[in-house]
Amino acid sequence: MRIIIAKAGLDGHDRGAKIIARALRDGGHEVIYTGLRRTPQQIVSITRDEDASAIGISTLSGAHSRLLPMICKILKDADMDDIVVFAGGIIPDPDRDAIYSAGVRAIFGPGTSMTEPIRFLEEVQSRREDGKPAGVGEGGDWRWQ
Amino acid sequence: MAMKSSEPLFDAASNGDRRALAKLLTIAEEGGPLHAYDRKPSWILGITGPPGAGKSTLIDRLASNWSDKGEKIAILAVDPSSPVSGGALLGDRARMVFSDPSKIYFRSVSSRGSSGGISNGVRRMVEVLQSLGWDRILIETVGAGQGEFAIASVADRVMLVEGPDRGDILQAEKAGILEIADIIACNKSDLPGSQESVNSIKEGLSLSEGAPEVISVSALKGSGLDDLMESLDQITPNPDRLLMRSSMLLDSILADRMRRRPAYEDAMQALASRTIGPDEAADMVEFGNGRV
Repeated sequence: MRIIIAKAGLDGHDRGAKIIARALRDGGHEVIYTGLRRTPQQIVSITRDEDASAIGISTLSGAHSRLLPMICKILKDADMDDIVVFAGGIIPDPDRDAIYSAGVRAIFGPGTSMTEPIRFLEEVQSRREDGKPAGVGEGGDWRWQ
Repeated sequence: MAMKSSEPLFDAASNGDRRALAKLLTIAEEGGPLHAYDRKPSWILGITGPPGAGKSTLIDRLASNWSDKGEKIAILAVDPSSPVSGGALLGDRARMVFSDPSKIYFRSVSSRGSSGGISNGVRRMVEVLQSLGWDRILIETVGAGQGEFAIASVADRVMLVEGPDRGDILQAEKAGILEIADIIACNKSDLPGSQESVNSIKEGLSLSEGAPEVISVSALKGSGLDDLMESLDQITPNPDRLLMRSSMLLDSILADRMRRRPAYEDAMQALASRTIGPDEAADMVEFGNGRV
């Protein structure tokens, strides 16, 4: 799968993003890292230009409740409903429901094993093959638990 | 070959639909069926050089300057895939800070383990971009070995990017790749020792006839770019260099085809266990198991 790993907004810490990028590479995926401080619009444009099918957003700045739904909305407005969005970093439990309902399918917090995002993407793949919703705008309430 | 499937994508991409363009390039990369297009003349530059020489930053600067003049710029950045997992970490895009991503088209490409295989993919991607009227197409490859040169040789002009403090200028000389570039950009002119580095490259080339021009630039500070852009536009394809680069390109494609032959694995195993010699192993791949 071609996957974008993104850092959005004013967030200068990308150790986690780079670790997940490497883990996904070692899982056989083609990973494109955006670099720091991209806007939601830039992240969507990069996803479009790279013909990627998933975006992983690493967020440590506390702005997740604003940035993640914004990225999901821009994707849907651009008819990119099939793109799978997942997130990682520091996202407190009370904030998660709103983020899931915006279209994010998985949230990986601290302590996540390196293989978990890879298993998530395998599940995404098999859902796609079965014609079940997995993309940001495809509806349904499936989320990775 | 004329195929229906890519036509709607092509029409959409012609009208500026970037997603259609991206999907078209995926088909091209993977060798899928493409509708036959009329190619428009474009200016195609291959850029290679050792890791850390500043290729991505220099490309960012050049693309940004050309784009400001109203030219349509597309960049294909090829990075190696992991030999273990087949996956790839494509990070060149992270260095694009000067150019406006809404004007420039940037696409990361994984080498998928084979310079020969990806050369074909890159060639097809270039053809799609040409047919859609992109003015300048840049192909970036990492490294200064024959494989990287082979991919860059899909372009009709090649620039080698070097930097100061690089012990491998001598290596580049040994590999004979200094002479086959059309132009050499010696980057990081803002660092001490850069003039020495320019001198040593020029010295290395002093015995070759029609040697490529060496230009000193600093991608970081933006100095020397006007000279470089002028020289890039003045490159006239040199038949000897084109011939040498074509030979590398052909070699890499042939090597890729040989590796995909059914007897390759057996020949490699037999050679590793020293039950046969290198010549016999090569015969086995070329003619099949029966002929050894």
